[in-house]
Amino acid sequence: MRRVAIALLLAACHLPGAAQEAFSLPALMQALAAVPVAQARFTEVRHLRLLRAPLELQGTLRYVRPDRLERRVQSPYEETIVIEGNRVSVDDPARGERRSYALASLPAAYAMVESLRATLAGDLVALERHYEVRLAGGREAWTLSLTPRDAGGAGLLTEVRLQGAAARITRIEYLEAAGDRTTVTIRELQP
Amino acid sequence: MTRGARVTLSLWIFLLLACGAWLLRHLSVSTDLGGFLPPAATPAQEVLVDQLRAGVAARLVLMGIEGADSAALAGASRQLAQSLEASGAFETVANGDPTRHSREGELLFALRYALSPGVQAQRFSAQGLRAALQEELQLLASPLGLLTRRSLPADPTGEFRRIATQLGGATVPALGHGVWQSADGKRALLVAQTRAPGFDLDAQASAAGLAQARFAELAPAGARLRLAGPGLAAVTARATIEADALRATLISLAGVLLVLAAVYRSPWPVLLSALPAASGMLAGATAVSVLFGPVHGITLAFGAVLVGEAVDYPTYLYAHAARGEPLTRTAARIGPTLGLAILTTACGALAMLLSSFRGLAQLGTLLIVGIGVSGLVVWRVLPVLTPAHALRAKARGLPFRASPLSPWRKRGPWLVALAAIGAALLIAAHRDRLWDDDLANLSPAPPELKALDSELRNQLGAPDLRHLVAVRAATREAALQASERLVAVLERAVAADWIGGYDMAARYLPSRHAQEQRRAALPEAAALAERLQQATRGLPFRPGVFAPFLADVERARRAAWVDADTWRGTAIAPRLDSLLAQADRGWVALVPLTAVRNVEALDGALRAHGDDAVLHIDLKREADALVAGYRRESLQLFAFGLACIAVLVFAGLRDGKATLRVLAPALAAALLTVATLLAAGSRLTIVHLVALLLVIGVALNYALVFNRRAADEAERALTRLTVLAASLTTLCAALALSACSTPVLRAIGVTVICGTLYAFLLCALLARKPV
Repeated sequence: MRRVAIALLLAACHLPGAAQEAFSLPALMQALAAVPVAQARFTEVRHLRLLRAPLELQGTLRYVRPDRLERRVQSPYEETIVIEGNRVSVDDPARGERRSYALASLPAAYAMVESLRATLAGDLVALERHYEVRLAGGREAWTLSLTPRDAGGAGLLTEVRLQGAAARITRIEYLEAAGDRTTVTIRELQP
Repeated sequence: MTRGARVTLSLWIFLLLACGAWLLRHLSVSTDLGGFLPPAATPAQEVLVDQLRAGVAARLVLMGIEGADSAALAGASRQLAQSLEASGAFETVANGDPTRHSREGELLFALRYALSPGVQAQRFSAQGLRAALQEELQLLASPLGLLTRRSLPADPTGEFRRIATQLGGATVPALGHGVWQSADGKRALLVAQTRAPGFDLDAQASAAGLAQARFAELAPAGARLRLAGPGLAAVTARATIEADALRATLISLAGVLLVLAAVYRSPWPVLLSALPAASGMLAGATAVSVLFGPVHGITLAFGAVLVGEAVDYPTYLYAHAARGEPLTRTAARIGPTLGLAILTTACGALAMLLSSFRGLAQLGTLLIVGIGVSGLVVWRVLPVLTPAHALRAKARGLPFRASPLSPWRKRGPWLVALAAIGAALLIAAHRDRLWDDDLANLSPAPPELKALDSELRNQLGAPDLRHLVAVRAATREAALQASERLVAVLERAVAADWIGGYDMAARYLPSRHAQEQRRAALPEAAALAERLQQATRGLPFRPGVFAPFLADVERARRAAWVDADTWRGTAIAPRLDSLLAQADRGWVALVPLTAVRNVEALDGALRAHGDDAVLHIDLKREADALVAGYRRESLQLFAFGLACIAVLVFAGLRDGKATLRVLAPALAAALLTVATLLAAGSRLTIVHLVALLLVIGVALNYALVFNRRAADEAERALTRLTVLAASLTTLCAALALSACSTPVLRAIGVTVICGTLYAFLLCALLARKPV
């Protein structure tokens, strides 16, 4: 019996992540919550059944504590989405349009916004309001899997997978109910 | 007992029995503030009064569930919403759960080509379609595209999105666990609309009771349901008014009996003194019930004041009865003074009777009939009923000798003049903040309920429904067309940020004209397929993706017209009912505006629109104007009442100087009372005016009694006693009212307390002989 236990223990030591000190969800959230401003370039590739070829976008992301998130698309068109507090505004300079919505009126979008914003904020409570949260991996290579809780998000999104290292997010994958999927690759800029 | 006395007694008993019988059968008490309100004078006020009484706003019940964790609150919210919706007492129950109202969403989607203002011929040309598809392509790339991606194959021109944006424009509370919750997740929020109108208080009370009962069945441990809303406020107000009216009457009766017992030191006169007041109250309430139907709770509570004043009359009679003199002779002796006192009070009340403010007219009726009957009972019935020995033990004067006012009496007239001028100056200094015309301040709802109401409203982002545009027309179609013509103006107002948004019936039920135009803009199947082919050339959409679009447009071209029945059984039906209603003459379409930020600009744009049937209504401004109008009218009647009183006193006394000596303290007491109220930080309402009329009546009574020619020192001592006893009884009634929680009653009580004290002091200062 004891031998089995030791074998299991040894085996566990070889799993990635377990090699490092205990890495828990609160520890990750605490690390993320310590970052006041984050700025990055992103490349987004979206595979849709409606289209013959994937859509590819490039731009920048900027997060300012506690609740401001800016997503600026630079190619192939220009568009800025700013989420602050519980409002989202969309700025489309090509058409000179600016629209603003209450996040609460768009439950699915709200859930999607929070997958990134609440993670960046290290706000586990907000995250768990929308998702069941599971963490795998270790401090230098973790994966956060989010499964939508309520009907609003669940009807459209099946899972959000965030990958990162320490307090940085490096890749996000959105899996949608209709079989569409989007991958966002993030390269952090120096603040 | 003489034959005449027997006839009088039989008549009196018959009157009491008749009144009692009528009240037992017909008395109903109303506490609806709307019923107390004046009838509307302008079309805008008509809409206002309707909205107050029966509008959507009056049927809202705001609910908050507290005391459990966020997930448990959400569960309770879902169960409660389902249970209440099934109960049939509510038109709608909304808790933000997007899965509950999928039927409305499906209908809106199916009817998008009839409902969307974007359906125009250009939009369905090859170029129009291409522009739409390019737009959709960009939206697909956006994170928000997630929301529309599923509907894209059927709705590439985004008509459903356009409708949904319009309907969901208002601010919405946050979602927690799929239902509306406050930002901190400690309260789940629901909004329900009762089926019964807001003025049906029994139905409102039973709806609230139903909600609590259903909640108790399903509540998680520790959770509680808090309710607010206009209906509930009215229900609570009714309970408060009823309790207050009863308590005030009982307390004032007890206090009055104590004072009388101290004066007469014998049970008989004390009991008999209650007879005129009780008869007056009975007759007054019957008169109001016969003339007006339901008696308002506030009117009934005025009964306390009536008791306080009617009890004074027997005091005059008993106090002035000389030793050994038969009471019938006393009654004949003091008859003229008593008659004048009663007539002057009735005169003040007559002014109220003429008011078009129904509440005031009720009060006037109660006072005139009540005081009149009390006076008659004192004059004709009491002398017959009172046993000869009853008054043997009564007090002959005040238990103390010195009159503290004697040193001041020489300068009495100057002091009174000075006090009156001082008060007038203070009133003049307050002239721009004299009146409180806010209807809400008349509302007897407890402040905690008002606070909960505004807190829930804030968290729900519910519109305050202050601004409306009313569109009046002869037919429904015309009202809808006129509202559709208004859309351009309103869209401009939204774009310029003059208003946050608006809602209108034509969004759910477009006029037939608009529906026909939209249908004409939809191409035939073959033409549409051809144009779509051209539009998608070079774009990355998979071939055949838009087949559902082609099918849906073809279906829309052959569908039945949208009419009111289309929405039957959905949450949109009650909304439509509240926005479009048949009025006395034709139809009224209401366009509620939210977040109105620039009223002048909006009014300017509406005037430039040049449609006489379109009327912007600021409900709060209208309500205030309504109250101000009736306050002005009451003020005129008040002045008229005063003039009548002056003429009457002069006619009774036939002496200019004596008339002045009687009128001056009464008017000065009124001025001082107003000045005191203002100095204490209150503003005056119609209710204060009514109470002031009473104060003047009371003060006149004292002045008349003080100025009766007194034969000797013994009679003067009696006069002092009489007036002191009368003041104390009036004070008892006023104190009982001032302890009420209903603001209206409290205002009456405080005014009468001040007035009685001033009246007593001033009358003593100006009396003909030292008092």
